[in-house]
Amino acid sequence: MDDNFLINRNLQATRDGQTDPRHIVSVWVDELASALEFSERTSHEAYTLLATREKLRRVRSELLSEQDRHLIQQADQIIAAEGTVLADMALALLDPTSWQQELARFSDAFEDEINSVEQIVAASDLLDDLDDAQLLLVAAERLGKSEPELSSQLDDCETELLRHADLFYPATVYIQGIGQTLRTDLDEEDYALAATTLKFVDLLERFEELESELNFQNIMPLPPNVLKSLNHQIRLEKGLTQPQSRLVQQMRSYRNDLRTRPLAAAALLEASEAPRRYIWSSPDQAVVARMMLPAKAGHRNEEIRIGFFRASDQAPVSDWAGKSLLLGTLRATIDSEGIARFTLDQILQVNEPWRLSVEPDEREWSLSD
Amino acid sequence: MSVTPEVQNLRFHQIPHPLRPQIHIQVFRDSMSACQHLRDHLLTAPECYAWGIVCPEFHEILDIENDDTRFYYWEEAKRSNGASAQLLYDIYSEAIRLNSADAAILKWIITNSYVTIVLGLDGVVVVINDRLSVVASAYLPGQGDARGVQDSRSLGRKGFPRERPMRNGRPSGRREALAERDRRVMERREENWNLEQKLYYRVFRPAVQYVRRYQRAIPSSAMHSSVVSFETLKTVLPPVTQLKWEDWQNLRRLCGREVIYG
Repeated sequence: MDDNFLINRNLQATRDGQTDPRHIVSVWVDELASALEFSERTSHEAYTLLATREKLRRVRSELLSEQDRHLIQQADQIIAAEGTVLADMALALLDPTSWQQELARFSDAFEDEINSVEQIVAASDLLDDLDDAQLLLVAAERLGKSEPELSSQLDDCETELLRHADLFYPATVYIQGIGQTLRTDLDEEDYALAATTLKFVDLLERFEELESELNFQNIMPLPPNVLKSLNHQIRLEKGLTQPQSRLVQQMRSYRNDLRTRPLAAAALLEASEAPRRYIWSSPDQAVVARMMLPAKAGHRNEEIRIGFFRASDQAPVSDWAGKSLLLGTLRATIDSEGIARFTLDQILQVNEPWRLSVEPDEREWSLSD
Repeated sequence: MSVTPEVQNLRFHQIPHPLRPQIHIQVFRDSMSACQHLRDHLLTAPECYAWGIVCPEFHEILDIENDDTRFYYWEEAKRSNGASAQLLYDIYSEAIRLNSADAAILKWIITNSYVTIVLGLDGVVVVINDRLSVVASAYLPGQGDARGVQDSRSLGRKGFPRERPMRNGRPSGRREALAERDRRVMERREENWNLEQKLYYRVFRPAVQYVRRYQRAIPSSAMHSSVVSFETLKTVLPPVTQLKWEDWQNLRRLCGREVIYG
């Protein structure tokens, strides 16, 4: 277990040994047993059966008893015999929109309306709901049922989850417990399943930052960046290039900065890091667009510029004044200095994977850094 | 179960404490508290349906399925300071007594100097305030959403809806068809069940699963030192895989409960 990169020793609960991965696995086994009990299954039982089977595939073998393995075998036999019917029923239940609404409700209620135990329960339930849905899609894919639209909607849910990562901090002990149930070889053995664990990795990373901020000190240096490299690797597999992936991380870091602004401001007094530069090249390579992003977010109205320059002599393309550009879903106009101006808040709304195009040409510019 | 003289229009019951049977505790502190718990648990959907299985006499008192009936029952109970809800309070108290007695035998009890919490074989969790020697709450875990109860109070809505489904199904004709299919599957499954099987599958097992599932996320450090919460029951409860239908029947026999449903 010592080489498990999902055991975040920087986190308080991990150090205190509060996590209980065995209990978590036993609850999953209970759920599988219930879904197997009757030969004619409801759609909800089909959903639980498929999702929980995948969940137990992620679990370290030493956490499963002989009885558990027997149950899993039973599940495999049923899935082999009637998996596609079960998947059809289960997929029809999946409703990412409701999940997002529930997350919004949780966010609204978080500060004033619910106590700390309710926060833990709501955060855990929401996280489990998303995890189950992602696992269901993995199961469906194994059964030859591809659901690109649902998959994209669930990606949006994951983005929202990570955007609200701090709301999930009350469930940190649970999330660390889940981390401790996971096999460490998943990314080599089963890539689709490994991708479902990314949200835990990201959340735990965020919680480490949060605990460090709350303590006003870095308790320990971050461990060698196995986590980040895995994160990058899987994001690349999801179709993001390295600079796109960096931009996604940069935006996440900004959101964290803005949420913890007093702490972030204090940190800014301590150190000023160099801004980061991102460059897009036009399809004909004649023009480059440069965006400079500050290392830390100051405030939401902070101006972010994208400057357009000729590749040959780096002169601003002032003759492009009035042209429209599209960055993700964000539209802007290039001014007489060859610059398009945004606020940080607008930039935070840009969706992955940071596609840029300039009218009238609809072709995508290539991003590098 | 003894009856104390009339207090505030509702005749209160007393039951033996599950750990100290020589001490008798009153089922709720006063009529307002009793009425509030009747409202939040026996008169609130969907928990009310499960109470109809735990206490079959409930169906003789009012039409559980009817939201308006439940709402007006509560209105009347409030107006009469609980007196009109005596029958409902009686069956609620009896369920509390029986489940507390189960817990005493099975040792499904957690306690500190302030609070005792027990789970019985009907799936009823009973919370006892040991300082005041009263039952503070009794409910069926896994049958509803506590936030929904709070919302229903503030909204003052009829019927106290509490369902908040997450696996909703995307709006389409398929969702309705699937719901209809599920309903038929459940009907076929349950058509030969006796009341005991309904009690096990619909109430007791969901209660244990809820307690264990709920606990999965809550560290003991989240609890104030003076508070015991029902999720710590998992420390005294066997896993669900050891509480199968046959196991549960055996436990009921052990607790002298088999005669209830014959």
